[in-house]
Amino acid sequence: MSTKSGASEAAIEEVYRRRHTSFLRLGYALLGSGDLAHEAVQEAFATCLRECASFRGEGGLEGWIWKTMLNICRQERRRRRRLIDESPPEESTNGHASEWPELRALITALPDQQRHAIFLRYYADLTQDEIAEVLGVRPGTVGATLNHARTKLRAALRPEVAS
Amino acid sequence: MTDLLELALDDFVPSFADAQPDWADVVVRSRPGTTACASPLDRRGHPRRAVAIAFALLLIVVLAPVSFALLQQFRETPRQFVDDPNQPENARKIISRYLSASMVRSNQQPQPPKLQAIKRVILTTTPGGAFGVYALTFARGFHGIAIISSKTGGIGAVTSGPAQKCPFGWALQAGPSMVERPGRTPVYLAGRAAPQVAAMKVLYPSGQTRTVALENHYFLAWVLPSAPKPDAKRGSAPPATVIAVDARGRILGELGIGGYGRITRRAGQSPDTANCG
Repeated sequence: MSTKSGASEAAIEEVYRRRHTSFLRLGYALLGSGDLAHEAVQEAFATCLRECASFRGEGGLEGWIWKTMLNICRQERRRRRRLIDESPPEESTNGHASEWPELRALITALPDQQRHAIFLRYYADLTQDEIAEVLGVRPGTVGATLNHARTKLRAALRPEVAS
Repeated sequence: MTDLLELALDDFVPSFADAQPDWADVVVRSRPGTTACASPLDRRGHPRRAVAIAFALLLIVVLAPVSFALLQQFRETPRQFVDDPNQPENARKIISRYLSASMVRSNQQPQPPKLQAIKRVILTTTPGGAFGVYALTFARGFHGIAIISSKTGGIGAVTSGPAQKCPFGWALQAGPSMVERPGRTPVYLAGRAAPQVAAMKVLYPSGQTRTVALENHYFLAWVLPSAPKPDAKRGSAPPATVIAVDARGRILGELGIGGYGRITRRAGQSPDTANCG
């Protein structure tokens, strides 16, 4: 599917078709809009196509594409930070987001590394090793990062006890 | 993570179950820098490439009649469409209602042309949910386009009329437009795109661009309402421009679209060709 000196267009297309929904979900989680998520996915794969010769085959092809997607979202987020902060988030189509209002705020407040690790684990369904590759850290660090993030988020889900 | 946290996280992001991958758009975006991907054909050299091309041509000759027959299957009579479980339920309901209304109108003189065939040309996810675009064929040479929301209770818009020709060099021909809740939901515009159109964008006055669904030489564009001003209860869709480009990224044509989906006529453009760009 891919060679040491580059990735084939067919291999990139195969990842696109197989994981399209997961990429959209990660994009939505990071950018807060279905429209922006779609744009980010299309741009990420277009970037991979343009730069496929630079893929060295040191890690997995899919990890390289996830890394590109994450970078595109980071750039987009930086560019639009003011806009996103000023406009209300799009309503989740699953329809229950209002049940956990504190969770949304907590996710937003998580440090970037923790938020990205949670999203990559949950929406991209990546393993600890794969997340480590995408984030450029050691697998052990990913484990600790995920634990920290989960602990904070679970706290938001506990029902409040009246005193 | 198989607990409440998993459920909560799942709820924060849509499933995108109806999202349609658009690889052609990815390829177009990756230009004008040509892709330098490792291609099996490049590595193998010319003799094998010739064999591969010959094989591909042979496949085309063998499969073309089958493909044509398959394509014909996607064109349905109105009755087949209404009974087809593969079509979105809301689209079937709206077409069914349209047929019932047509039966009432058939008492009028002259009788309106009868809807003969429906073909779904686009099914895409938009910020307002999944939408389909349908090419309609009527009796007496009339043609039409329908935009229908796939959401239960969602609305639709249909245009029909004699086949209209745009001036030479046209790139876009506007069809129906609609907005469910002005200032709150997107304005939608559907239409036909010339064969040389490779990609399309919506350009906002702010300079931002948004993608447009383009399939089977039809398009569906949507313009998001802008955020409401502090003293207003709701926003409004800004006037925007729908732009068509070729595979090299050159602009082929454009259509101006107003807040309620009305096409803006450009200076010097006759009313007959106002929907051509």
